[in-house]
Amino acid sequence: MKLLLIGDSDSQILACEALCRFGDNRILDITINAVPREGTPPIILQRAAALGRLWQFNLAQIYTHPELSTFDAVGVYLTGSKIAEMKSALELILDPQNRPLLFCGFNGVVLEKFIEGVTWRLGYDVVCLSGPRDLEALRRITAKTPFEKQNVALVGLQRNNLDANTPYCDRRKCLVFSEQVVMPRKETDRARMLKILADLARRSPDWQILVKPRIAPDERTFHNFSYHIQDTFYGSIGRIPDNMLLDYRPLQDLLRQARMMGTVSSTAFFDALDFGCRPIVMADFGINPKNGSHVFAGSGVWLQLDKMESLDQLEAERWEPDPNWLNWMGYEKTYQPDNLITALERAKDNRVNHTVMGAEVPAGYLTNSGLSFMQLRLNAENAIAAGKLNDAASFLKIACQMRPTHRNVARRLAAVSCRNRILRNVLLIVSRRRIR
Amino acid sequence: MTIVLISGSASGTFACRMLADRLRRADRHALVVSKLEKTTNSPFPTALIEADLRLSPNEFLNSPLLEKITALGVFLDGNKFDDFVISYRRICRESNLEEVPIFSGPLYPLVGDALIHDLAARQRADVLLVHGQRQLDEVAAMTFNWSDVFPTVIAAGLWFMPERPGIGQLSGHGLLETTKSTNTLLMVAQSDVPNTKRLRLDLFQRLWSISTSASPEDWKVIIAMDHQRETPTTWTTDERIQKGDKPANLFFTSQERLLSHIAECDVCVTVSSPWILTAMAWGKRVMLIGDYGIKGPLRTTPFLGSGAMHNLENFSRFSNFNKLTRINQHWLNSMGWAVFDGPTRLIKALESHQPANLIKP
Repeated sequence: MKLLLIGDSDSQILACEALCRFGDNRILDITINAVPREGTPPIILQRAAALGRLWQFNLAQIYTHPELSTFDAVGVYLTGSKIAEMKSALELILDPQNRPLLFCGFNGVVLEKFIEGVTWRLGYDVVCLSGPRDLEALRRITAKTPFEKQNVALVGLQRNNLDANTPYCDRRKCLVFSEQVVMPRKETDRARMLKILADLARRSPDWQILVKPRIAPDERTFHNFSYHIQDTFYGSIGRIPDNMLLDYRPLQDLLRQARMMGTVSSTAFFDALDFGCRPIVMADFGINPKNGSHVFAGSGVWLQLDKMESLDQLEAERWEPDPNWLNWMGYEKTYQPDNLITALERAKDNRVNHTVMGAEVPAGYLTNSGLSFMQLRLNAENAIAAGKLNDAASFLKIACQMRPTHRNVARRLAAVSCRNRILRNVLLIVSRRRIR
Repeated sequence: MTIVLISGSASGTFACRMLADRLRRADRHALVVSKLEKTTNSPFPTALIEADLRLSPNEFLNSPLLEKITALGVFLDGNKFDDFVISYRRICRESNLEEVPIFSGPLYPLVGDALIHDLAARQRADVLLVHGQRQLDEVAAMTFNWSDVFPTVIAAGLWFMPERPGIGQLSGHGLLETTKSTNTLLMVAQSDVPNTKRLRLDLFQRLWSISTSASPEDWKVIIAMDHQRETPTTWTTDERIQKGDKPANLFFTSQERLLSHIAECDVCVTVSSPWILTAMAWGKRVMLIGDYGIKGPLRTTPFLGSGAMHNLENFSRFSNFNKLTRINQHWLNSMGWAVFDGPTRLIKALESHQPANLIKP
């Protein structure tokens, strides 16, 4: 099977990478397309390149790529509107009976906006989910609706191939804390989080606490934030204990050597399990959905670190994640990327009779991907007003596909796509029209 | 012995009135405590938001009534909820008063992130009221394997809204006959949805366009607010309205008449006002305007799967509303319509939190 996986942000390329752990008995030809984007760490591209062929085309180049129709399946790991854009484009460009199957998924543990995410994805040939928790949620949303037969594949939360891990006793007495860019979001809470870790480091002189920032100070994610953790680290703890450090080495390297890993709600929890490192979840902020803590509160290792005597005590108590919870989340051998291949093969067989992707949905069951032409234009104008030109381009591209002869949409798309800022502003002014 | 329902808003007081009526029918003594600064220009008829006791939450905490209650329904939002509950429990401890169970919950059916955020903010309650099986399932998923104690959660149905008006009081049968005097399209307008002035203007202009597609004798469009607004026409920024120019069959209406308009309309449309559930429950022909997307801030996520969400773009003429199909009954049931004995469930849940004789009449 010939697969093309398309991702743009670093986390989405990582999701593509995680998916590429197919069984050895599968003969798969994998191409990963990392949509060029400022700030994508080179290491992520290197890792993607190691999995097969690496492309770095933008979406327009992919649509017109001569090889596109030769793939058996295309995996789309993009933001919501682009997921719809890709589906809409391929429906128009390719022969419905011979087009590649389309699949998509969510990257990591879904902490929020699951319903919105689902509405962009419904109608894909296969939607990848992590495990029973996500499947239950999807079934709740789609019960007794035309979407209840949406094909899904439970691909699990394991993201790294298990190699021979260092035995626990040979590991360093070290806790790696995996920082998240906006969880917690408030600067006072982030300072408190580091203070709790610093106090724990002081109470645990034989241990080292390494704080692993999610991104380097010069990198960006799709989250808006104003203060990098490095600034909080040096600005809010006071005297930093000698055994507490910021560490920018790749998380995988740290997890291979450390005994424990701490987080508020990062997907790195499952990476730690992959690498034989014991994960714990910081419960000090209580159950607050803004931190994603409600998702991890049932993990069995949801612990208040400020009440912990020391890391020695924590180690002695041998906290382990609850197997029921792990299974429910999707961290279990049953849930693996091979399930995607099986689902794709099944979808291919079913296509002989009908195309799921192009199936008519009865009136009244609108999804985000079924937005009207007018709405796409309005969304694009709102995105332009908010300075989100990539989003605007996505909406306009779908609108262009709906009505290729609509001149103003084509002009607006040309305007937002213009790289020269001055020229772009001029084009945006001259192409502005009242939408009615 | 009394179940006291406390609220701080017009919509909360209205819902508490509805709940109190049902508790009384179950032979429980219930009192609504609320002190609204303004009862005019509220989304409800003034008579329906009159509290039994005009006391603010703090005034209630200082009243002798505190010693006579058997349960407290606290329908305050955000920090006000926590502040009230913390103060109440402190007062009970300091005064040697026995604490009674506290119940709370969102007024309208929520799903997904909105439900999780709302319930997480009410964790100090003993009993949480949600609306239907959908919400119960979501709570079960949220609290999967939690070791911490979470309040008892019960489905209480669509308790925030009045029951269907009796025969003869519910005109507008939704048949859209041309022989009937005038059909009414009711638009339930929200203050912050769609979430920009530009989009609200877009929506208004579409309604304008629809209203000109038929003669005023056949159809009229009523734009009714579901929120407090002194001058309903300010809902749109369309300059034509400010100049007094509008189609003869397009009307803005005072928000106090919202429920009457729902009872009388032929078609009820909205982006995401929870009052559309009332129109659904009363058997009206309904439509949710999906043109602005299914997003948390638009509060449209609960309606995915309702079978009633359409692109308004496809309804440029009144005659198009003939195409509206039945809503998904499974969806409506799961959102609370199937729960007919909410007050009884609430009473049982409260009884399990304290000696049975206290909660009984």
